[in-house]
Amino acid sequence: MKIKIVLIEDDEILSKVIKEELEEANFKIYSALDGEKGLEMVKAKKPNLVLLDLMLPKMHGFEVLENLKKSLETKQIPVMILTMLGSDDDIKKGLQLGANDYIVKSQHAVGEIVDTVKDFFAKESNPAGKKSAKNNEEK
Amino acid sequence: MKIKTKIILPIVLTAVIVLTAATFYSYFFNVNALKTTIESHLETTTQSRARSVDIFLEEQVDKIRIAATHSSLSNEELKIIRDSNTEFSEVFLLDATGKIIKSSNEIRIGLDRSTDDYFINTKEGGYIKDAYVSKITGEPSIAVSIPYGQEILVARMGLEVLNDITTDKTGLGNKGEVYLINSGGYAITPLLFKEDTFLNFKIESENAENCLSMNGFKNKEIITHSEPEHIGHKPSIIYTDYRGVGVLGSHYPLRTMSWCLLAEVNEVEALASTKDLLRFSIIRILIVLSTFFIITYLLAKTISKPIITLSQGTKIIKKGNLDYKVGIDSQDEIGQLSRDFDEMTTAIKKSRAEVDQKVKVQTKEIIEKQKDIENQQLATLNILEDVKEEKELTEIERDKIDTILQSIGDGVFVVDKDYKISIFNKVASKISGFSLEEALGQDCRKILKFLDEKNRTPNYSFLEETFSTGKIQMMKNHTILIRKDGSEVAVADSSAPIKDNAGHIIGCIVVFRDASAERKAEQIKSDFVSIASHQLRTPLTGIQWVTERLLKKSSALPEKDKQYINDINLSSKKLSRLVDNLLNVSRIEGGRIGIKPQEIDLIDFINSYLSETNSLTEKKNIQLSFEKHPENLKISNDPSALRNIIQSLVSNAIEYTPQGGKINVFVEDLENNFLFKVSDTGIGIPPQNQATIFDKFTRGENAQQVKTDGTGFGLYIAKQTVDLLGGKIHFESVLDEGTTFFVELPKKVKTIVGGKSFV
Repeated sequence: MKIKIVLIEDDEILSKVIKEELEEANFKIYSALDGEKGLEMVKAKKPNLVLLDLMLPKMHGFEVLENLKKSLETKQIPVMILTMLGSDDDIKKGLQLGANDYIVKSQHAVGEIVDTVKDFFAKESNPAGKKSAKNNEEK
Repeated sequence: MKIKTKIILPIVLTAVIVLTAATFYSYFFNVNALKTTIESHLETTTQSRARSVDIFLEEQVDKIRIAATHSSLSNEELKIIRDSNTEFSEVFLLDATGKIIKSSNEIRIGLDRSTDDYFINTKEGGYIKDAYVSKITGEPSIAVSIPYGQEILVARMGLEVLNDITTDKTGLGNKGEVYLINSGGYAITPLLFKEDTFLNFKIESENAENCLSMNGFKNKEIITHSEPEHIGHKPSIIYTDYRGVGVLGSHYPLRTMSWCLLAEVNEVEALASTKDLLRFSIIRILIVLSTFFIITYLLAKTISKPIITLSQGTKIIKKGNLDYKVGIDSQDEIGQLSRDFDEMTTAIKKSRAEVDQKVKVQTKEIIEKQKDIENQQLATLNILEDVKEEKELTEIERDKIDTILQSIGDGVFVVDKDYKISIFNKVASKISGFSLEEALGQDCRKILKFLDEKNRTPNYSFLEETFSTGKIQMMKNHTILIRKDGSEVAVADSSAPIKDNAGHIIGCIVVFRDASAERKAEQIKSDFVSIASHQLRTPLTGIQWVTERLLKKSSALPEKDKQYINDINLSSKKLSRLVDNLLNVSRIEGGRIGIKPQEIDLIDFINSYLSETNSLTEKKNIQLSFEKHPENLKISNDPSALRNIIQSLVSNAIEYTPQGGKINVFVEDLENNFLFKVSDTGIGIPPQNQATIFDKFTRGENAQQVKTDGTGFGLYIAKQTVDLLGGKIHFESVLDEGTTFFVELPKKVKTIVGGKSFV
């Protein structure tokens, strides 16, 4: 069974590229273009990971994150924040709200995002490798 | 009172009193004795003279009696009787009718004498007729008579004998007299001081009255011979005589007649000797007193002289001559006193010498201190004058400054070292809401609450740093001021030190302004840049990702198309980089860069970055080496900031190094710091651009020719970042030969909170 990922990203092009890349990497992707739909989708699909953009129409990413972390059903689902370069305050806030990791979109080639997600799941099954993902993002 | 006087006065006074008393006593005693003598002499005199008068009268009576014994008396015989008795002036015989029948002077025969006393009162044994003036001769006369048978024999006589007896002045002095008065008080015998007094001058003196008032004085019988008795009368007394002159007198009554014999001596004359006595007594007193005085004076002098000497000695010593010795060498008490005194003087001199010495020393000290004080006073006065002048000048300056400060459009306040506000202008008042009165003298930290907008902590570091560094400090960005009413106002500006002439910081002037509007504008700008960069990046990321996928998927594309797609990718990356730099510059200038140090291995960090440049260096055939460095170097730094610096310098080196050039990267461990060095063989920086090469938008003139699309942000951002990290950056460059940049950074950088990281 494929690993399920809900991708909440409002930019259609970025969403499409990430989705294609991840599907090529054998992940099952459900994508949503706004916060509200994203939240519904997470509740509906109960994915293994949520990739969450912050600057979303209808519902801001932080609100989505808070709702996810409030609900017992979705509380355990890991969330990875997708953000733009230079928004370290957003990253900080996201991590405080319970996000597990973050990806700076503009800094990385799209292939690197897939690597990061792969690393995340590798780390999930092997917690010792947790750090490698972070180091990756510094580059 | 002097001792001499004390001795002399009582003695002399006593002597005067005693002597005077004794003298006067003796004088009065002598006077009384003299008086007594004179009195008894007068009594004796009156008594004996009275006896003589009595005897004379009795003799005359006897004579007439003898004549009456004759048997017959003729005129002739009467003459014989008259002649044989010298006292008789006339003898005659009266018959029973009173007619002169026979007389020693015949012419008087026949005259009638029947009314005459000697006819009427004659008696047996004889009768003496009181003194009278003879009718025939006018002579003062007396007469004796005796019966001769039927006839009466009378003899008349003058008073010569009586006068002789009374005028004998023996024992009476020159002014003494004796006289007789009759029972009527009339003078019978002559008076010494009055003539023609016979029976016509009445003696009215005390002496006369005393005599005439005696008992048994009148109606005397010649026969009786009885002595008169002095009863109730002093025979002699002092009184005034008929002339009113003071006399000593005595009286004695006659036994034959009712006559009194008075004897008087002049009092003055009689007592003349007592005057001599008085004079003598006074002289005697004076002599004795003089002698006494002299003796006493000498005695007193003997006693007082050493005392005076001692006294003068004390005066001399009192004047300060402690060397003086009284030196009285007698064995008496004064001598002892003198010796004791001299010893005391010596002791005083000794102790005084000691005291003098001490006083001298202390006086010297006092004078020195006084001089010091005077000098200090002088100095103080000078200072005060200077201060005054300066104060006046300062006040003028201050007024000017006040005027200027009040006119300034920004808020201005001045604090002293204790942060006490001394100047507070109107704008400061307007911005803060506190009046000048409320602010003056207050600690500015209590009134003017400057807070950091983000963490809400008091922010006076701009002041503290001005005091500690003496340099002008800017307020931190995002400083807000809590106004009096509790509202917040964004403020901005700077503080500058106020230094005295010696360069000591004595205060601080703070200029601030209401920065609400600019803060807002800044925020808008910042938001705009953020949003813009976000919004720009999203499509750029899309382009990149799509081109990446295109290249990855479309292996069938012709090589030329692949090259185009790659160009699109590179361009979008450059565009991304430009957006990043714009954002960085915006954040640097907005003061919104935060520094968040974390543990980094510098060597790994650099290698990681350099590997990203491989495609570029390969393309230009540049030999980039990173060889000289420690094996590893642990530092604490902000990765984004550090990357910014490295990227800026290395990418510049690659940009401006021609094909086939060399780039060397070095790292050196400098204990607390480390040195990062990038050396290239590039075009170099023209000297005229070197001074401004770190400025924004500045590029070397040669660089503009090599590469037209440079932004001029790279070195500016690098320099700003190095500054933020507390490091230093400089370069060495030779035109057309190459440039070396040196960056020295602390191994541990300080955190700067509240800002965003570099992108």
